[in-house]
Amino acid sequence: MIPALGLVAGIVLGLLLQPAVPVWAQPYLPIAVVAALDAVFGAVRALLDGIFDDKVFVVSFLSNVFVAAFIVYLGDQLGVGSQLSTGVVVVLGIRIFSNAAAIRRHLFRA
Amino acid sequence: MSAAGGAAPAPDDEPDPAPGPARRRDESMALLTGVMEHPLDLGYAAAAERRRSGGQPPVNAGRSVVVLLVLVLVGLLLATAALQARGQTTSRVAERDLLVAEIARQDGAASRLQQANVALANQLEAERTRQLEQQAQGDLADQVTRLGLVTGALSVAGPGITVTVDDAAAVAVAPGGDARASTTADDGRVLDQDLQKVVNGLWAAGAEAVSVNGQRLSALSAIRSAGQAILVDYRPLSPPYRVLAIGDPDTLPARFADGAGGRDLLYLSDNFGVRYDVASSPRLVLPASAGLDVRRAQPVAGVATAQTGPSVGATSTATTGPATPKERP
Repeated sequence: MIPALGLVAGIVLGLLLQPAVPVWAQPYLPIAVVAALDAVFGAVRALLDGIFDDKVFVVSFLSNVFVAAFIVYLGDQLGVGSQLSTGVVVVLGIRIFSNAAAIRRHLFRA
Repeated sequence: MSAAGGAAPAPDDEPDPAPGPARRRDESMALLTGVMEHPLDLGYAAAAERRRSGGQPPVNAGRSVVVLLVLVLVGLLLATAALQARGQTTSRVAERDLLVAEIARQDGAASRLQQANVALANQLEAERTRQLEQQAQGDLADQVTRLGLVTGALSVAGPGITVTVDDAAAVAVAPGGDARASTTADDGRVLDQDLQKVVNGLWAAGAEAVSVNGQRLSALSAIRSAGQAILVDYRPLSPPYRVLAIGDPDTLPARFADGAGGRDLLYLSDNFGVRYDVASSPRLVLPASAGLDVRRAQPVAGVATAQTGPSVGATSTATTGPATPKERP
């Protein structure tokens, strides 16, 4: 319950503060969002599976965001940024879908 | 392959002849199956196993401050990304609309000024003619009128032909709506040099006055391109291009079709799908040229009477016109 409130507080904070994203960071924002969503869905599933661990969650979130941004950065430098972004989105998207399906099975038994 | 493809569907699966350990059918997609079957970070299972072996409950419920902080961070990220994505599109659309409106406004202002210019020039000509006639210099008035017709300073009416040239159909329906903005199917696009050839062909066929989309060609006219737009007298035109030419209605169409301009059009039409049409009209009205300003050029003293011959041909030729003096039918 409290973590969910933290999420809501973060969203409200973002909407109120409207932080300015520096130009160099703008290409990585969408990828970072997908990576963060993947970490959050994974955490919820782990919680429902009964194996949640806060250290794993924090580390997986940070490393997910960092690695995703790094891959996009690397792709930009090599000239294949959009292709690598697509790859990252596909892999993380599949994971998000599978975890969301597991969460759904837990919650609705269907 | 052909035998298997043409055969009737087998009622049962063919037996797997491969010996040894059973291979998974989707072995070649190990990467995808790995992603599909282990979506959860393996660290969770490992940590739970560690705790279980240590005698603790497997779940380490998220009460810690770090988890809360990370979730606040995630929320911040989501909100920022949403604002960023929305702000970008709205500001871009707004900027674009602003620019489009500005272009349309300035375009309208420019054409209004041009019309006013033409009207004033016509008024000026009428006043001058009247003045000259009052001063009993009728032949001078005639000469001014004749020169005005030749140079494009006066609007003219008379029989002639209309040559309509348009981009190929593949270009006209290109996505984006604006044929000038699209970069695909460039082959069927009418270029400035195509229009130049058409105009040159009309001059060569005996045209006495030519206008392109309402822009009268004069000795100072240029047909050129800027980007993908064709400019005539620095006014951007959009297809279809209507080239009006006044001349002998009996000979002009045939001479144009037989000449270089008509042949070029036919070639463009046959090879690139450029659409064109030639129609004669008993009466066409061509406006006066809007850009007949001479600021630097001065008449050479005595040249008007002393020098005739070669220079006359050169001065009566438009920049886009034929290099040789016009032939008369």
